[in-house]
Amino acid sequence: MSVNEKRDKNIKSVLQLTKIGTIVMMLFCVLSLIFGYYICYYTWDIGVIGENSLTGFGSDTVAFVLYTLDFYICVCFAAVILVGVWKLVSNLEANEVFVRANTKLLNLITFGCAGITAFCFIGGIVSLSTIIIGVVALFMGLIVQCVKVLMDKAIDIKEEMDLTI
Amino acid sequence: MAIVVNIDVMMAKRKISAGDLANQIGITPANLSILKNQKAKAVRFSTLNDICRVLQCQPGDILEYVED
Repeated sequence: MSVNEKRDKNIKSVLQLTKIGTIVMMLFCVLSLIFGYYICYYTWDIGVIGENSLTGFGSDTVAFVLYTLDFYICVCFAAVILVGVWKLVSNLEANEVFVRANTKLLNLITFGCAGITAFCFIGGIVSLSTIIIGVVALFMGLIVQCVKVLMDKAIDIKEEMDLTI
Repeated sequence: MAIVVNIDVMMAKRKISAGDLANQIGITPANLSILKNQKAKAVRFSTLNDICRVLQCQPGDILEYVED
């Protein structure tokens, strides 16, 4: 087997693994939407969340409702990110790598990350621990945005190459 | 674009079709169309050399600078 064949096989398996991972995460998203209330209830109840309140909400009902609402909104943003990843991987599988559609998808993923960051920081009012998730999402969004800029530059170079006769 | 490609004028003068020219230069008709329609961003010296050889002309006969 030549080096190119090995590399192609490796890329294929990475893309397939990413797709499987995306499906699993989608499943988690759906389960989170269905059982979101219970997830929030139990994580709130065991005291992991809610004890480090910035405003002293503590285990107040209003704080719990805010926390649950925040959870649901973040799951929706996560679903947006997963749809973006799924479409991106599908494009890569179809050998459409340096196309403008992919930069739009990277923008969509960044939007999802920004949404999660914003709502996790808002959630910090009732629970400090959500801020950690927000910071992670912020880092992810920044990395994706850098990749998007790189992709834009690569597409410009490719277009110039394509139009060189 | 300030540089205009007048390849169609030379083709008409030499009475050569786009297909024949593309074939003799060794480029695809699609690429020749890009060149004719002023969509090309760059032309390789080797391509320019082949065009001049086939059309029996100078680079200046094909490329023209026009003020914007």
